Amino acid sequence: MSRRKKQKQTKRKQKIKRISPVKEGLKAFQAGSYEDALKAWARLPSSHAKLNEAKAECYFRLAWQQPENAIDHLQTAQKLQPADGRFAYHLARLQHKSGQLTEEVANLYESAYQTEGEFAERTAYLQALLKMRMASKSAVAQLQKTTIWEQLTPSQQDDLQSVSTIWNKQSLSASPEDQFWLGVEAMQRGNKQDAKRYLTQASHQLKTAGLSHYYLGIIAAQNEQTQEAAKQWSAAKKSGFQHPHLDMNLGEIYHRLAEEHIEKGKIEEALKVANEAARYKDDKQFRDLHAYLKQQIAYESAQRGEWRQAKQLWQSAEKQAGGNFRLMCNLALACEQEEAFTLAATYWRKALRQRPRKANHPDAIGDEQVAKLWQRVAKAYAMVEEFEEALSVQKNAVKWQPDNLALRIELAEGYLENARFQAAENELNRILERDQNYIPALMMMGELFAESGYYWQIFQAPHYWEKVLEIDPNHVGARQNLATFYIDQGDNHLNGWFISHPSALEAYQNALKFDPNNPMALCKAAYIHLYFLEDEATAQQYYDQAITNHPQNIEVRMLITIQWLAVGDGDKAWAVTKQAEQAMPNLPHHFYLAIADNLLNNDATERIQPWLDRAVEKSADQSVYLEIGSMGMMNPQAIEIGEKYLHIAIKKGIDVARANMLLGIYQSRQKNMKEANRYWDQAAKQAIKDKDFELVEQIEQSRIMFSSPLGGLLGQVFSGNLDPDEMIDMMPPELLAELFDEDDDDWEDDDDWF
Amino acid sequence: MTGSNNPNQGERAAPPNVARADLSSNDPYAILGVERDATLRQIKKGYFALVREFPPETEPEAFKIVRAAYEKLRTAESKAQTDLFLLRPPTPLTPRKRRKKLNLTVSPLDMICYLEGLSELAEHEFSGDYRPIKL
Repeated sequence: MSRRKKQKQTKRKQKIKRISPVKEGLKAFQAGSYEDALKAWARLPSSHAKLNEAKAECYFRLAWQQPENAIDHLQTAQKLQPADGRFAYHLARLQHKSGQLTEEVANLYESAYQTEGEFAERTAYLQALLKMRMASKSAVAQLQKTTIWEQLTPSQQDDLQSVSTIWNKQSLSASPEDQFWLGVEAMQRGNKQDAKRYLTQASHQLKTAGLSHYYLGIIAAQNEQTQEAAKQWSAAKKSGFQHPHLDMNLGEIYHRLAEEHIEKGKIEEALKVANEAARYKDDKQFRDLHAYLKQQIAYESAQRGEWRQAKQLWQSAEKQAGGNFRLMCNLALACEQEEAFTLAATYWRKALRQRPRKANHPDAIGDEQVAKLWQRVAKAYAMVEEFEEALSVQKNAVKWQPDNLALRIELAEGYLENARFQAAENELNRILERDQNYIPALMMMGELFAESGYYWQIFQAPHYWEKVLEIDPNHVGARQNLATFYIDQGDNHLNGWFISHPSALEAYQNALKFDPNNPMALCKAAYIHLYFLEDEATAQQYYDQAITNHPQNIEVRMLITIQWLAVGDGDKAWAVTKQAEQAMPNLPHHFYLAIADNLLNNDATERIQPWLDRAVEKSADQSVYLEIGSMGMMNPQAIEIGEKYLHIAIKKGIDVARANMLLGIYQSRQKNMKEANRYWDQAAKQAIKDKDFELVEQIEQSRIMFSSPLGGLLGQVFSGNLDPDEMIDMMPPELLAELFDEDDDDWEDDDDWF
Repeated sequence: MTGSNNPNQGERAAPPNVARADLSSNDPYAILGVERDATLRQIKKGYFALVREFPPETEPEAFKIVRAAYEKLRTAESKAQTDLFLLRPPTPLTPRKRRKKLNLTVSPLDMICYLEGLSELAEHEFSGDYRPIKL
């Protein structure tokens, strides 16, 4: 940090320290942070009148900020400023409002009243109302003897007088126009007919609407008019009328209305009123009804395919009334529909936990269903690639149905796919202990040994598949597996240290024993006869059999062509290709490229051109030039061919960037770095133009790799491989770090090449 | 549900499930037009009624749908399996044995509530009562 900055900070700190608690409090007060203001003033050593006034004001304002502590704050304010009528008035008002009808509250009103002025006037009416509550019907008579009565407005006096008259069962001297008090009087006397008539009129007046609607609601409810009662009480509520029974009555009347709608099958209507009821009611019976309605609407939505809405309603129902088996199953299905599989698994698990345990319950499920549900949970976990969780859940499924071998096979398959070979073998053994002839287990055991076992275990595989054939001699899978196994064995005899064509032939013939028309076994056996035994006639028999049985198999035709080329018979090779073209007029250009590639790999470059020409001829697009170019570049014997086709690609404007990149690599391997850089520059320029930033990165990697001191060595190590990504994948991390070390100054400034 | 080409249709009233059958549904019960709690016998009966409505010769697509739905429900095992992963309507609501009583009493208290509602007891906004401070 600079010296100037430090000095500035110190000054700021000193400034803060210098601000007095008085000012700090004032600032907080003005910002509406009354608690902070009180904290600041509490630091002052002594209290004086102005400070107490300010503190009282803070507590007064805090009362409105924190309604839950309002009474406490007002009490503090009143203690600090007992002469201020505001605090006594509001404290009494709040306590009165909360139902504290005590002498203490009356005294508070009295002290506010004694302060004279604004709050004395405002207190008078509330004092009168409190006395009405406390002293009942004689209150007005008593009030009239006090000065309070004089403080009331004529309208307030009239209202109190009317209440007192009705309460004392005296005759009301209201004029016929005064519909409201006439209605109230009729209601108090039990004359519902008159009450309804007067109160209906009075309900249109803003001042008298509240109580009028409330009473009209009572009349409707007494007449079992649920809808009307709900309407009237709802109007009373809307007008702001407060009554201890109003909320409770509203909740119950809406509940009843919802029940009536359900009975009539009007589920949506029922839900609407239940939503209203929920504002006033929260007992268990109501929660059950409300949740039921949500579930019903959700069920209908889901059936229409509106899964999102259904899910939200079901979740709301669960939150309100707790879950149950049906609800959890539906939620799991909705989550599956939305492909939220982890959540689906959670709901299936909840469904399992909440399934009815009593056998006679309509939703009771048996062990088989429990197992199926666990299986579904496992599938949900597998969908989100939580394979370990899926396996552990699948084990639960097996626990519920230990004799369900198909279920156990799924578990074994899970182990196998998770590379838990020993667990898979153990599970398969457990299955075979239950049924030693269970074909899926025998098949999988064979696969386990063939694919995942150690070298010496591989030879156990055929034993299981042969056992399958003992049980079911026509089992296609077992035959195919055995054929593949022996073909692999045959191939092993032709590759590696100890080449033995008789053993290879024996293996291929073994394969044909199990799968007599296996195209690969036929072609490979033919090759032994053609190449090693020079028995063309026998070879041709195998070829004929392969082609007759698999006339549309491109791989067979390709293999036969390559095999003829391998023994140097180009004419036969062409003949096979022509036959293939006749059988499959749309033979893809890859067919020819594969043959050309094979020729390259067998150093037969001189015979490659006709196949390349045919590939170009057959290719649907011109990217074939780049394909041939790459192919040539990867083979040290065919560099010139590669170069030629890459130049054609550039000339034709086909994937110019990539073609230049490959040519750059080729030049770098020729130690012609100047030329290499020229190609890379062009490649990068084009790639940027094409907005192919992945390729830009690849070009950069190529340049780094092949320009570095290690580049020459790399060129030799990866002599056939020109794909920089693949080369990077194959390199040890230490070498990569060495190559792409960003902190190395020599390379840091080298990124301006494009 | 699509109509049938059967020229004899209308000679006798179609069974109730045929009218209810919804071939566009994913629910095999809805396709067969039977209730969720239908017995295997009722399901079978419903299926054959629909087969008569949608014979494979004239209504091959509809028949395929009906047949697939029946396959899911034709045995107790397949039905249990199907039921397990079908949407379920909520458990029917048990009516309340006793309703909560409404409080319909009329008393002088109501009038005081009315008067209180017109007074400052019903108000919430008192920022007009704030006073400035001087220190």
